[in-house]
Amino acid sequence: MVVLQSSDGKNFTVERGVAIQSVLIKNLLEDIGESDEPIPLPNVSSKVLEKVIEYCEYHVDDPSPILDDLDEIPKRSDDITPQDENYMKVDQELLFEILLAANYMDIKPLLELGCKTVANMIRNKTAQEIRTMFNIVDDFSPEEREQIKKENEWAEDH
Amino acid sequence: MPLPLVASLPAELFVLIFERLLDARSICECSQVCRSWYALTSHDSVWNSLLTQCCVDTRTESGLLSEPHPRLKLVYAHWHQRYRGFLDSYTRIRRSVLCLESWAETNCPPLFLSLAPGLGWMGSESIPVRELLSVVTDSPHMRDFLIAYHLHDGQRRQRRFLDYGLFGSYECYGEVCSLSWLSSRMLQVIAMGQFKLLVFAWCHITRNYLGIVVGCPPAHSTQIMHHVVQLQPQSYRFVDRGLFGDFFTGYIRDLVNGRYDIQDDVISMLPNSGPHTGTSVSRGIRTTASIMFCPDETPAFRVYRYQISFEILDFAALGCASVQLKSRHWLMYYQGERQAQSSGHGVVGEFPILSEASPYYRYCSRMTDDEMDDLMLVAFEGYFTMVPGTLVDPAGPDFTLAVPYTVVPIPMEIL
Repeated sequence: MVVLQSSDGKNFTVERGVAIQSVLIKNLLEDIGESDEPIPLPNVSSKVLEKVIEYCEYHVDDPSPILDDLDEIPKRSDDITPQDENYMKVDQELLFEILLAANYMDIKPLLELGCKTVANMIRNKTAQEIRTMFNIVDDFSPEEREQIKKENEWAEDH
Repeated sequence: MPLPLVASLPAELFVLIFERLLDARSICECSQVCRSWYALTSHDSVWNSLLTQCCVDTRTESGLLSEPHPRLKLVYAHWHQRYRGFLDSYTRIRRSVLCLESWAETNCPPLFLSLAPGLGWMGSESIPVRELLSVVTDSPHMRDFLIAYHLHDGQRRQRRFLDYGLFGSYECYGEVCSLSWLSSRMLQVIAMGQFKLLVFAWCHITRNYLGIVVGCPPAHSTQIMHHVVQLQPQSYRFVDRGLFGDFFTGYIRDLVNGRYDIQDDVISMLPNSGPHTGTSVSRGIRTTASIMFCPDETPAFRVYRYQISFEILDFAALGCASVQLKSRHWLMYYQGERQAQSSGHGVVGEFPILSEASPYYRYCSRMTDDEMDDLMLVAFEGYFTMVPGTLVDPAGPDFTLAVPYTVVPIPMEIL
């Protein structure tokens, strides 16, 4: 068993197989050897860590090898399993925190899932709809806006 | 105003997200969201991901631009504009071509060398083709024709006539004739009544053409317009091979799946599995029969060419080091339940020996309709009598290899 400690000091005891889906933890365990000491994760809150562990637990038997490079994963976003889709039904704040945690803890399949989920949220939306969805301020000058519109003209119709 | 949540994500994560959009329109919308998204969506890796997804030959497309190292967004935009209306076709055919290339490189190097370096658009040299295009300009299926042009035109660079046609070869009485793509200068539209056919490949021995129907009476247009047909111009008999894209991608798939044998660096035109073929395995030898409609110059009756191949798969099951063919026995079925038998010594004048040194043998011959009563050939079956060892020095009693009941294709005749 491995003990993981969230930024707010909460300890989570998980099986080794669950924990080492995080390359960060896998490397750490290889460096320090077996230890009962909790592993601190100062960038991950208990709420997010709990959610990340949930993912690692139900993916513990996945045969997917840990890839060295994210580029090797086919970049499709229509291949999300219903279970993963359900897992990702969270508010925007938690979704982004999961993405950040997956990136920090180096859990490639979860990072992939998060990126695909966000990509699916953005796809087929207008710039204004995206701004509204993410509360982004349009900081283009009118000239810039005009120029970019022109630059993208080719994509307007198929 | 509080910072938007999205601002908490580092730039590298956005690049990963944009790489997964895989839709030019959506990426362009993202570029119009704000300044930082504009910069992030311009990242080469975002467009590289899309170019890869679309199977674009990025090197060739980059070479068409005046800048030495263009940004990939620009490369994509130019590709998108040039192939507007054919984007799906391009990707589909390119995927097939890549599949063909990797297959040919391993299985048939001479064919690989004869392949085009990549798809190209209509160049300045292709004026005759440009004229031909006007025939089909207003067609929704024109894309298939354009791609046909791309494919053959690349080949033109290699040699005028290739020994290794993309469509393999017909085998006629042991003679090999390959079917060549015609160079763009030799592309011709032939008119046959109300039909117009753009011929893009032919076999000089069987006189079979492969062409695309580019004009036909409205009544036939939904069934046959822009389809590839294999035809014999003198008899006007033809076989529909489907829309070019379907025909081509289907052919490559079959090729890669081993449906056509390669002998002497030429792809056999006759398939070894599927309709109009029959296979049996006995005493460790696989016997395969296949038959196709190959009209002769004399259109008095239908002629079919068939191929028989033998391959020793298992010497233990065979129980001897070699085996020699002694005789053949055929049973032909005609319409009206007419049957006819035919037997003879050897095949095409030979008594082939299969052994460790040459475990494979095939021959081609022909069958016809019943000439006396003009009855159509429907199917055939038969067997070969084999001798273990050799005919002069038998190593055991004779045994037979069966040719299972094989149905003969019916040529479509509507012209």
